[in-house]
Amino acid sequence: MDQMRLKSFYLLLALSIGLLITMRGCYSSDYVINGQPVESIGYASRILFHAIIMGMLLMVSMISMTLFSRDQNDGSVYMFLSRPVKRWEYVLGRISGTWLLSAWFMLILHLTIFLIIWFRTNEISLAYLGASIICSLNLLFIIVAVCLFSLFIPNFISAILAIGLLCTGFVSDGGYKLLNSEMLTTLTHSVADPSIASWRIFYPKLFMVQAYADSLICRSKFVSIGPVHPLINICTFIVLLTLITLLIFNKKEI
Amino acid sequence: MIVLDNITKKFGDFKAVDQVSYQVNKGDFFSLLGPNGAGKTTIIRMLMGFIQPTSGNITIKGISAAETRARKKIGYIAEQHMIPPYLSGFEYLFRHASLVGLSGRDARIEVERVVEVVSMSGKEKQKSSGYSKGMKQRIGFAAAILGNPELLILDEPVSGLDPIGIRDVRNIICDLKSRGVTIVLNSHLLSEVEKTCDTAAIIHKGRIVIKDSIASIMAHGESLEDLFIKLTQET
Ligand SMILES: Nc1ncnc2c1ncn2[C@@H]1O[C@H](COP(=O)(O)OP(=O)(O)OP(=O)(O)O)[C@@H](O)[C@H]1O
Ligand SMILES: [Mg+2]
Repeated sequence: MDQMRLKSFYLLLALSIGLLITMRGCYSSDYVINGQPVESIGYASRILFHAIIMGMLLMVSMISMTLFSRDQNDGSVYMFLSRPVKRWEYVLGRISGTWLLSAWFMLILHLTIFLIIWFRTNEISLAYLGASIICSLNLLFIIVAVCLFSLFIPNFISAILAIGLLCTGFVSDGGYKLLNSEMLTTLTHSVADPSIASWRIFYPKLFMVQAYADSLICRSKFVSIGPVHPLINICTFIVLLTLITLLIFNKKEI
Repeated sequence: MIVLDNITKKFGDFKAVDQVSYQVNKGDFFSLLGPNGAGKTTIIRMLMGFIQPTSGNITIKGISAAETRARKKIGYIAEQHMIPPYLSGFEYLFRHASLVGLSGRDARIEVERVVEVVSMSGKEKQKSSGYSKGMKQRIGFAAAILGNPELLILDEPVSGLDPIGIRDVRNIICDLKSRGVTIVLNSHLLSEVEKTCDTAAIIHKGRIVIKDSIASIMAHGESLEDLFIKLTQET
């Protein structure tokens, strides 16, 4: 994991943890309605869960947009490829290194919240950490997508494109989820239009992965869009994009 | 050892290398000469598998240069050797050592040996972002000779080196040659080439204009420099 100067990595990590701890008052579950505490895992900690993921998604798209070009500019790629290292080994090494590092970073941030909840309420919510691990698939998706795009288009635009991809999915799936939320359906006694456009079914299900993780945290029922589970959807996309990246990098002139 | 068979490389419509064929035998010291932009580096990059020829075949020990296996025992130094700025010379060489299959103590001993050979002892722990051009080139050369390569591919290895560095590199290359290492060298230093190489090819506008042993080139009574100027200026 050469690409991450470890010092700045730890500094950033320490800063983020510090921030989370100073904010602890806001999201531990001290919310009391009618003398009863609202759920043991507060809404605020769930919101923070997603906020961290969103922050991480932005961060990895910024990191991965220069993954290949930086290696080429500083000579790292020649260090590997002038030796008996296969190109796919190099690409997978770079991608998985970035992924593991960012997933670990995210897990530690979520762990901080997990510990704060634990100290405050004595409630151990392992699902919170499991959800974090599931959502690290979203990070991997963004890393692979940005890497692939950056082989064709300028780095910054590839990051923007990946974020655009992400936002479109969030609007599409978020809208669907909102329409199907229990509150709305009980209010209006209607089911959302079952005939949704097929692109929305097969679109990368980043939002639904997070929604699924969220349902694990609060142990609620998970309603997906379309017949395919979002985890299968996102894994398929990851495999597909990785394969295309490998094929293209194999032919690339360095 | 190396066979180039009718190699052409186009960048867009521009032919950087035009139907080049030659052969380098095991233990040979072969030099590629030619003016700036002649296509020497392009040939070396194809040898290393960094780029693919538009047509023709390159094999190294019978293996296509595009294959990873072909780079098993190759030492390589680039024209402007780049060392990742976040690594020290030692870390850089250590990575090379692990990439050629050395680890732990063996890797450290080998790195210390090559650092000593290129006279960088004491400076190898410094971050490479603080190295001068010549220091980077020395570390690059150290990386090339690390792990007993059978084939050295050197693209202007002495550019940026001081006279002592040039002499050191010449001595190291001659020592390796005497131990049977095959060497392909890109150079502009014709006097060096005259002194050390066995065969040379002069390449001009992507085409080989002469390829012969240094002995028979010199037998014409001309110096390599005169011949070089004559051949590359008339077209
Ligand atoms: N990636 C590329 N895209 C387009 N043209 C290129 C590319 N690489 C090299 N060229 C062109 O190919 C020609 C040969 O370049 P090359 O680097 O092989 O020259 P050279 O013989 O090594 O020169 P020098 O002595 O200056 O190092 C040049 O005209 C160069 O502009
Ligand atoms: Mg050159």
